[in-house]
Amino acid sequence: MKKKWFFFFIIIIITFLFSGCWSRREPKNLSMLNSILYDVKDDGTYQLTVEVLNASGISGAQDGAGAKSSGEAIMCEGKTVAEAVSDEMKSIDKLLFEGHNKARFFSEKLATKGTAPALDLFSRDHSTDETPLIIVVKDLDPKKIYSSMTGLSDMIGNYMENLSKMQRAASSRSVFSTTLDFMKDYYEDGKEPVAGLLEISKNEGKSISDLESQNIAGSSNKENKIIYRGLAAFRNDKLVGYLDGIGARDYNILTNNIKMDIITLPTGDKYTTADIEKCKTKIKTKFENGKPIITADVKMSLVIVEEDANIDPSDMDTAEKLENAFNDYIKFEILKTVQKVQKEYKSDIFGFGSKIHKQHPADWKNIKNNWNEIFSTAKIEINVESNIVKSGENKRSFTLEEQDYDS
Amino acid sequence: MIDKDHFYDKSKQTDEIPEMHEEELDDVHKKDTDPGTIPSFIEEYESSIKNIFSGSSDLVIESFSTRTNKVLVGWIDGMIDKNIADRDIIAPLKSVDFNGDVAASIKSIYKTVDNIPEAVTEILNGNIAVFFDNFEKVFIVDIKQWDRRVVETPEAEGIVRGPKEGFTENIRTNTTLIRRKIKNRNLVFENMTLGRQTNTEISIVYVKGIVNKDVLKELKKRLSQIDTGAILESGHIEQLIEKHTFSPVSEIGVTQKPDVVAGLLLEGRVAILCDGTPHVLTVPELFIEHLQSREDYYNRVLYSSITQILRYLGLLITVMLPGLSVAIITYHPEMIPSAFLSNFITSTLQTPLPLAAEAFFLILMFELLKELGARLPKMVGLAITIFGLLLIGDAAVKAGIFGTPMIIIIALTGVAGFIVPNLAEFVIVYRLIFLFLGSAMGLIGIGCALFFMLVNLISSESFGIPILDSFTKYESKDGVLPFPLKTIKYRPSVLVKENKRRTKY
Repeated sequence: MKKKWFFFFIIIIITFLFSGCWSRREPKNLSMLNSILYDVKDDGTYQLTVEVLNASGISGAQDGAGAKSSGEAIMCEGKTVAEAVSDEMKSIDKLLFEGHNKARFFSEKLATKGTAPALDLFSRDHSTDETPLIIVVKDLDPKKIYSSMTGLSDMIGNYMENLSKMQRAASSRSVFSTTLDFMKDYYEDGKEPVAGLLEISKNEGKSISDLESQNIAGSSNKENKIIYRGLAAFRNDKLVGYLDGIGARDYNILTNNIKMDIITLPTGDKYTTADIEKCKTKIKTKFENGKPIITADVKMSLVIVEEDANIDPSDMDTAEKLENAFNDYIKFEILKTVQKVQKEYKSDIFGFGSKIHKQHPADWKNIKNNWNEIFSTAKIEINVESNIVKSGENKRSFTLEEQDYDS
Repeated sequence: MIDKDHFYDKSKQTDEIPEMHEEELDDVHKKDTDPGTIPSFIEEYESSIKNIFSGSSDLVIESFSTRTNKVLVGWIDGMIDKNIADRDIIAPLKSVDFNGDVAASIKSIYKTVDNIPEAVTEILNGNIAVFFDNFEKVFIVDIKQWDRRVVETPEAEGIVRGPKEGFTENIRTNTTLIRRKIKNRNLVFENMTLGRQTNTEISIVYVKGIVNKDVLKELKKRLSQIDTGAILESGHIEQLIEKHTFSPVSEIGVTQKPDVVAGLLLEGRVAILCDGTPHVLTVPELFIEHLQSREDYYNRVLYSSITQILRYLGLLITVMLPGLSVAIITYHPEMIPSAFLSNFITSTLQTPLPLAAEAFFLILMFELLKELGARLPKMVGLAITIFGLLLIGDAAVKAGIFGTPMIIIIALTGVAGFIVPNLAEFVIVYRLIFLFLGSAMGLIGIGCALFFMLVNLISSESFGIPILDSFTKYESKDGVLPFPLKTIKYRPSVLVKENKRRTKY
């Protein structure tokens, strides 16, 4: 019996000694990385700007509640991305913790030069995370994002995360490509990666809160503001061009990523606006004379939300006319975007190639090696079938003439 | 056997009060009462009994003469009703009508014993003994009467709905309380006397026909093996009959409420009443009992299901939360939301201790305060509790000794512990095991601790019945969650082997 207890204690002690506590990280020794900006200088040196949580800068940190955290941007350089990352150690007194990274910004210059070195690091290093958003900063001085307004968020990384959550639910004019999505698209045959597009503009209008108090994270008096809209199209790992908000919406329609958006149809000199309630796209591919023909069937349910053009969408005939007008307009918009991507960027960001791969695996083998070339000349047909399901909650438009109502 | 002569010689030599061991005390007792039979002269009675009680001052021995012969009455002061003694025993004997027929004269119900040791036992139990000159029997009249606590609501087991009465220190009151719940001839009380010094009366209670016979047999076996001097509380019995002394999982249930005992008896369990304590033991104790409340059966089923789920949650929180949070925050900070981690970083920035030590000391302080609250007199207790609140809640944070999130975690842990009060021992042991392994090995450590805990629980048994058995048997419909009473047609099959059906149809 005594022997048994002796061995039991030995085992316990050995467990403690061998397991060690070396991977233990006290939270107070962590420097939480919130976002990271990858840039490259003209001489090819990588320049990283990391935004970390500045916990010591918080007054009254001990009180917990009410304490506002703030970020601190630290710059570092290196011949490779990994070298630049390790260069951070020169000025940070704590362990850099990448587990809660929210966003990876790429400067336009680096994205054009190629993101492969950075991607290679992400996929090899165990401490990096696949969830951060990949965002291209379309600006000559990308570091300006760190002097931009961040709304009610404390740091740019958190701001991007909150913004993406909001936009995902309310609009579809931008893309949210996480590092994992980006890498998947990069490796997938017949699909090229896209990234979010961020532009910086001068913050001209000071917010009301600025006039009344200076308390809100000090963000309102920053000189720049962020515009997150549109997408950056890549071929392999290199940036080839941008699409604006409408282009991003068309991209989302073709890739079935529409959550909610509005479409404004010009009717004469006035407009009719509809909510996209549902949107489903089926992509069919076939081969004619060895050349692929791609057909995208878009089915949409629309809800009229604003009608300025003196027509009554609750009338069946008018509704049908409106539907046809919407069909033509949406088809025109999508074709415009697709043709721009085909002719100018020559990069299949819509993933038509992967559809061919799935639907015609045998034929795909012949064309996969120069798919992007074939894509740029491929015939792409768009069929739109929209359906106005509701004309809103009121029976007649406010702009409708009075006598129409009486008759 | 102890050498008596040697013992006495020694005591004579030293001329001091001999140090008496229990065995020796027993022998003294035996020697004094060895004559066994009743002496025939009243003076001999008197000296013999006085000798047995070593002249203890609370023994009252009165002798008087009746018309025909001498009488001696003996009792312990304060344990009998003197009015009844005067009216029904002494007055008729002293009256001029007394003709020597004792049996006719004693107005109360009496019994007779024919040797001194039995008479002494009866006196000790609070009866009055009447000796007659030249008579071979002693009359024993049961007129017990002493100050006792009335039936009150037990403070430790609070309920909202259900009977409020609780057991008292008097075993007779307690048996009545149970008998009043189960008016059934099959309810059996079997009395025993335990403790060679205290001679404590205990009572084994069960319902014949429903009780698990194996458990009853095992319990009687273990009770008969008890060899101890003092049984002052049912806790003594509990410790003496449990099998796994060092397991944090208890085998024997304790309650102060007659309705709980009645419910458990009707599910095939056995209860042990012990004189002098309101705490009644029940065996076997299944693990589910800690997570149930009798109130679950009184409330409507949806509400009691919710409270039951809360209790499972409370158990998990109170056992695992400190260890789990330390493990996750120090080893796997990726797993928690960013805002939570950044709060942790900012609030522990100035604290000197590592998180695990913070958790340990806070648990320690919580237990200290808990113990303090239970021990201190009410007036002082409040002041000390407020002091403790300020000390931990505000001053410790402001002084930068502890971080706020850890205080919240430990407070939640402590509060959740009160949801499962009977598991206090289990909870504190495993809380520390989880904390140590979690802070040394992260989630792997938590896994190890969970493994230890489950192995311990699964291998634990109470009087031959695995304590987790009720989680595996479904036919009783009274396991993991409460069922509507209408649908419960069978008694728990884990315990009840005969008369399984509760309902007629």
